[in-house]
Amino acid sequence: MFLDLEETPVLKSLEINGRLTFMQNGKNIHLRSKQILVRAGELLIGNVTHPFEANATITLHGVQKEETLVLSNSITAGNKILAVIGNVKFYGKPRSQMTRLTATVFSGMSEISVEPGLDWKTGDEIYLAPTAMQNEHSDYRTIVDYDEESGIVKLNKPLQFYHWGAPLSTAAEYNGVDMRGEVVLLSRNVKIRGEDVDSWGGQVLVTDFFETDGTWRKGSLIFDNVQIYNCSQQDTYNSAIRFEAAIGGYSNLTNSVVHGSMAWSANFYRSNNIYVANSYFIGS
Amino acid sequence: MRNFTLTNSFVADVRQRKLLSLSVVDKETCVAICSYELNLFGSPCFDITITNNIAAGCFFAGFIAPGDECNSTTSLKFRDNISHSNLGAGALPYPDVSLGTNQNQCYQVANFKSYKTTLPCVAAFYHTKEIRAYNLTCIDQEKGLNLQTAGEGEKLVSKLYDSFIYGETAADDCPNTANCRCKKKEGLMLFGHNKQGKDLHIPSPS
Repeated sequence: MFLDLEETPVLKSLEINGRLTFMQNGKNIHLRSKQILVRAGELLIGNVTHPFEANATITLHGVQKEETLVLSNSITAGNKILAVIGNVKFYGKPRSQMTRLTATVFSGMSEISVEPGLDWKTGDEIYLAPTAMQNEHSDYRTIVDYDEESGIVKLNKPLQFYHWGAPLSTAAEYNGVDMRGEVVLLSRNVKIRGEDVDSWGGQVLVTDFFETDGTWRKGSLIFDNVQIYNCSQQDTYNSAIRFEAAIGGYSNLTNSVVHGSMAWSANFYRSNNIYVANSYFIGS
Repeated sequence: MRNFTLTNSFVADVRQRKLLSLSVVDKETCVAICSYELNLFGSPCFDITITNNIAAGCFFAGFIAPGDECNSTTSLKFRDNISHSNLGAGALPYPDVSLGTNQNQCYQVANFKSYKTTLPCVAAFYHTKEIRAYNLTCIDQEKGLNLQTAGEGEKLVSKLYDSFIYGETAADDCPNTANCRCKKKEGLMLFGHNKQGKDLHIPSPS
């Protein structure tokens, strides 16, 4: 079955026991639900050779007291959830993920200098890491303009903090350490987000499950170039993305971003066969 | 936990969270590797690869990571990671419980880099008779590198090999008068022994 609606109504729950694929027809698709359970089937957005071209968004809706999903006695699934005991494969468009500041910037400045030739564009969100002793000196901004030739980025508002940069890496001076400030792209075209309500985020859970007939469901997830934001749930261990008792499946999380989390970003707990590479967990 | 890889990834801006229950203290760090479940010793993890990651803007520590067997040269369990700009340490390597009791005799940490941390770039206070560190790079840290052993014993050894400790750099802490943090800094603390050892995470509110 293909999903080709630009925006679904907010579903109370969606259980997938076959195959649901986001249609690749150049149009944006937005799936909205309080719960999604991928059970004896798969949920697909793009594929390895054809990443999703338009914007694909899954919004998880609900407040803290929303009805919870019950899977087993050993896993607290919770609510506002994409739960995976089947297969999920999401492939977004590859992006220029991270660069370094090529010049120092100070509080109050609205322009930064990074390497040229990136694919960054107006409206992309970026993160500037702290470079001094103060651990809380992070800045989050939106790109107003990026000059591909000069590497100059104009920001939507002035920076709050100082971030150190230089034209050349310091690796040669400090035994391989480049101390220039990291600048990370937070935006991807395939997104999972929690509805911004009740200070209660969404969550992605990957786990295994035994059906009453003994069938062993092995949760497997592949996220490549996927953005997860406004997720995880305060005062719980329900992180934005959680692998818990996912023993039998194989999962890859690559080139993806988890940001703006309300508690933990990621939790890999009593689970096997997980490969995480070139991914970014920022703000939790 | 078995067959887990975290590589070339970036973890940042991990804030301290205030839990509703005042009797519970959150276990904090940017990347806690098999340290969370059993606070004193960590929990067994097998086939773990943690390489080439950056943890920045962390509270308590950048990484809490299981150590390698002594004399290991090929382990990828915790290698070539970097941490910086932390209110806390760069890395806290601890004896790996998945190797039985071997690491209570000797364990090592190698190939780690850290800068601009308010606590040591690497610190250890855990139960072992010998701790070794190789190829560490510590830059501009407030508290000096500190390798301790813990527990009962007579011949207790801390060894540091082939490492670099730098002072302040061009990356200024006080570029202007605003947002300035100017503290005295240390390269190395005297290594020592503590009988009690420490928990991997802070266990309860003080």
